[in-house]
Amino acid sequence: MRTIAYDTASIALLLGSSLFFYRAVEFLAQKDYVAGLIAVGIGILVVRSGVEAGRLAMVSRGDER
Amino acid sequence: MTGWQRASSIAVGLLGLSVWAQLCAPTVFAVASPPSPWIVFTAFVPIFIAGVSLATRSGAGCLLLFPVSMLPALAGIPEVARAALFTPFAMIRLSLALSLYLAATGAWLSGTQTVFGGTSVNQTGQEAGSTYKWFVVSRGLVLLVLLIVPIWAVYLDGTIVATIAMNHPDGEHVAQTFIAMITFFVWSVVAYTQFVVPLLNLEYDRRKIRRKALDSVKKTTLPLVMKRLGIETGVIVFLVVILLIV
Repeated sequence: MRTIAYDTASIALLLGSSLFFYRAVEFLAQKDYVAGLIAVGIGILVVRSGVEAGRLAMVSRGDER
Repeated sequence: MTGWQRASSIAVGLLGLSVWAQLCAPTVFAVASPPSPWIVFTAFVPIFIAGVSLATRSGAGCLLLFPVSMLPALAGIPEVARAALFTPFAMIRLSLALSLYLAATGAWLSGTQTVFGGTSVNQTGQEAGSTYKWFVVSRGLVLLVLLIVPIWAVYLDGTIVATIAMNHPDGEHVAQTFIAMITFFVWSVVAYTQFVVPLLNLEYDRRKIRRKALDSVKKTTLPLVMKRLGIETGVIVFLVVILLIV
């Protein structure tokens, strides 16, 4: 159960990061490069969180086996 | 050489050929403006390098020299082929072909046959393969979404395309290509650091996290947890506020 929760959170965070990358493109289109850079930074942080949640899912899967 | 090894060599060769066909073949087979012999020569150099690298199983040759050797030919690509290359579908297709080539070649060179469910793996490898299969496939699909969303936004999202056209009236396509290249660069960095490296080290990371978790359980106190949570929340709030202000 813990594995599924972590895995779902991981995939949700990873997919959610696409929103920030989309916003980054929007900012770049408006020539707002600083905002674009910040949006990319937030997107990468969210991806990082998703990857960490995925690692936790792997650890808990190992425990449940 | 086993049947599996032969099949994987052919697969790697075909993927490399696919990348070459998308990047260099338009230069060689340009009908409207026949290229100079020098350009044709640069277009065929990658094929020679790939052949030698595959025959010698050279990692540097397959993963570095071959992709880099295609750049000179790319510089001489005809204008029509260049325009056809910088379209959303062509860029996604090229990214996929290059990613698949690099992943398959890396697996082929390392000889870890669990990636493709090979027949000569040991029991541990089979267990690891089945455990991590979902993890690898799901992350691969997410990675694809992370590539498609920004490329779609640059080329096909009506609002963004209109904004680009308004802000770059004299070079809409150049601006689109520029933003797409930045996006692709960011995606490549994210793909390598956040997906490929963690996926290659899954078992190692799992053991390391378990060991760290057991250690940290002994050391963790409530003030420490609150302090870390506070710092992380503060960083996120700070970034969001900056974004809203900007």
